[in-house]
Amino acid sequence: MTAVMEAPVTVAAASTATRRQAMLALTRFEAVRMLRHPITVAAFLLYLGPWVWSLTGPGADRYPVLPSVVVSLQMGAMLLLGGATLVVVNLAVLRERRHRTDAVSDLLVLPPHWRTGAFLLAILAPAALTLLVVCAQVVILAVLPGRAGQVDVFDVAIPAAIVAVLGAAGALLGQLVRSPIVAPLTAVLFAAAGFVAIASVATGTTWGRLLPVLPDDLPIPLPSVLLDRPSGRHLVYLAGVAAVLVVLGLFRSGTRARVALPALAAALAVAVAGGAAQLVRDDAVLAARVTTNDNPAPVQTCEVRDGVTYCAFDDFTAWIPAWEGVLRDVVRLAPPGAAGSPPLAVRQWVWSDGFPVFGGTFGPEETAARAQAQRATDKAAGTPEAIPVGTMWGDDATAAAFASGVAFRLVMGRAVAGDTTLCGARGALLVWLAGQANSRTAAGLRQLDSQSSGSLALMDFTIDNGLYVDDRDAAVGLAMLDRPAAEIAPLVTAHWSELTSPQTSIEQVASLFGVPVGPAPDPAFVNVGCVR
Amino acid sequence: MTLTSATDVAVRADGVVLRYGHTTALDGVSLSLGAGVTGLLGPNGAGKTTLLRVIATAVRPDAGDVSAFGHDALRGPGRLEVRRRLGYLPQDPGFHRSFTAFEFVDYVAILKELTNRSARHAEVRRVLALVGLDAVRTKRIRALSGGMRQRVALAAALVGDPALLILDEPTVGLDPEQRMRFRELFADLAEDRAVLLSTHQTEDVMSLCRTVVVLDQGRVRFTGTPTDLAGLAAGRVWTSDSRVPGALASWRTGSGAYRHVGDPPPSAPLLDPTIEDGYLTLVDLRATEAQR
Repeated sequence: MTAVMEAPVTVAAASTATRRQAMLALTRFEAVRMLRHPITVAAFLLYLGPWVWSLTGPGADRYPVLPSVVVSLQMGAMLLLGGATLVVVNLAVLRERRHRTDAVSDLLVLPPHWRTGAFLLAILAPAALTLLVVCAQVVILAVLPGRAGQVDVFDVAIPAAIVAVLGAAGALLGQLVRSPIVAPLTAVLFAAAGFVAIASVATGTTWGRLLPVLPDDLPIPLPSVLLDRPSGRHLVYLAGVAAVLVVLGLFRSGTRARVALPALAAALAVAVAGGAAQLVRDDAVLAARVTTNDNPAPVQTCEVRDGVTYCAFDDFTAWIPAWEGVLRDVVRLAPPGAAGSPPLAVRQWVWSDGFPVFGGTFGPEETAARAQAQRATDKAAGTPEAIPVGTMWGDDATAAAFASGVAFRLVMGRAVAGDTTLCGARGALLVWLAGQANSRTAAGLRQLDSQSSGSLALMDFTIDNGLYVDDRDAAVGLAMLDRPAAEIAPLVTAHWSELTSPQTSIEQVASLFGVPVGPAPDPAFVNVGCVR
Repeated sequence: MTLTSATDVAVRADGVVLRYGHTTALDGVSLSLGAGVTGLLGPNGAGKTTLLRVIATAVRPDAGDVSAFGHDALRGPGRLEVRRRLGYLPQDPGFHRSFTAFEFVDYVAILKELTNRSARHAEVRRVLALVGLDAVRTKRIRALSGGMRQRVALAAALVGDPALLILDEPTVGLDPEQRMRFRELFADLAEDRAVLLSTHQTEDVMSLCRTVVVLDQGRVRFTGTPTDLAGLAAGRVWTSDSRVPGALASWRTGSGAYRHVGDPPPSAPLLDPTIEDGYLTLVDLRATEAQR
């Protein structure tokens, strides 16, 4: 049967707008929704909250090493901002299916691959916001008077690239799998991979660089001249990976093969080239690390302040005033002339070669050889017996470790080098001198004491020497800290010779200062490594 | 959308056949639509929604042709041209519940390639006002009642001022007042565009439609005016004081008398048939034919 009914009808002209304009309009719409999405907002708050707290809360880090901070920002960006973008983009791509609006949306004019293009372009919004936030973070850190290190502009761009990669992954997942569960699981997978990348430093390989974050190859802050961070090549790699994901997403949603395949080949070429290039180690930097590990002087700047010479890596000189403050505080209550000769000096060291990433230890011969090399370097550089300091600063424990190094110099008349254990009166005196300097060193000593077992380890693990005080002796020094400095200091001055003598026992010290001393240890467990 | 040209026939379907496996959903359907509301009636499973989806370019038939505004609606760029002129309200429209009413319609407008932001927003406000949702346009859809959501879906169908409106049971779930408003709106809209309305509401068909098509088992069983459809039951509707077992349908009215549709006994007092009576008669005739 045929039904026929005809009457005049007015026909509207087709829209003259181009698809590109429609795609851009949709991009704007989706970008706003992505930025306003509760997951995105929560991720940015979670990302920024702890960071703001670390700047403003108690124990705020005023001495950031910028390259190290950037790595942590990259990790945070991947875990929170990238993960959120992945999920939000995936939800946007799956929106029509999840809400069963496809009956209508499938009939709307803009073709699916143009819509996918809009989703992908919209990812630029969270990526741009990430870039903005990270730039702001770096600028804020860079204007801190105590900041050290230099920031590579490519490193700053990497978090945004990570967000773009994960966003593109979210879009592709939405094309491949209709379940919204897959995206959060993938975000968790990326998070786990990030930790693997960071941990890959222990393997001594560079494979971790194939993951979105660019991990450091040593777990300690390094001067810029010793950094092997191929940030630019990593950025190219991320751009290539993002492009691959973008092209696959577009292809999956209907872009023609004759357009998609050449684009895919080009994107793959960029990803492979960037990925391979970043795996190559910088031999010049590796050689510089070996040289600097034994002799940092050529890449350092020295300043003389109040008669004390401070030598720091060129991009760490901002820490000199802080070192000076601690040194002055330690010396303040020591008897005049305790420093003796040669004049006091401080030199920054970094364990840039042979750092025990596997937790290995060195034998006594190696330790002695390193101590000898340190002394030779200091002497040759005109700062004999310089107090060593590492490439970490800002927390109580590090301040305590440095103060202990200063105290060692005062007590022993030489700089700590290699592994050194101080016993008896000298151990207690060192602990008191270091702890009385200021509240931070006192707190740092107690923190280190709570973490130590057998002997108080006054270590800065960024340099390859260690200073230890037997627990029993350290306890006397800590007990002295509980007494008013005005009572202890005159006694220290008056009995300086006895207190710095290896023959003075800890019982004598306890008696002198009226503090308790622990029971004498079993002779079998007496520390035989005490320095004489 | 600017009105620029006119044509006599908005949509023409010719010999449309669509099968789902062994089931023939549409069996050689042909029809033409012009301006005004065309009602599509039929029992459940008659193929109404399938026919609407074919005309709306959502489904490609196994055989036959469909054209709209001179464009091939089944393939090639013509399909896109048809979509540019189409407003489609499905039977069970989904919603992005976290969107506001404005955002939802705006989103649809973008996908309809309305790209000028200020013009598009003006258009979105226009259609929301048209369906009476201007006051709640910033409310999230999840906070709207079922009737309001239906109006949001209608606004989305209307955005861009489409020349062809396909409405699949748009008044289901609406209260009488809302249905009246929808009728008013459809009547206004149909003045210069083709509206294809699938419904089970015979009152809607009677009050709105210029033409009615009855579809059953994938075939067009009737085409004509609502009056013509009602006329099929002329002389077959009568009243009595008691139930008549042989009648097609028989029910007691509010006045206490019984109303019957079927073959009346001699000298039974006849009543004016309604479109519903005509529809029942048509379906019965088809069943009788099938038995033969």
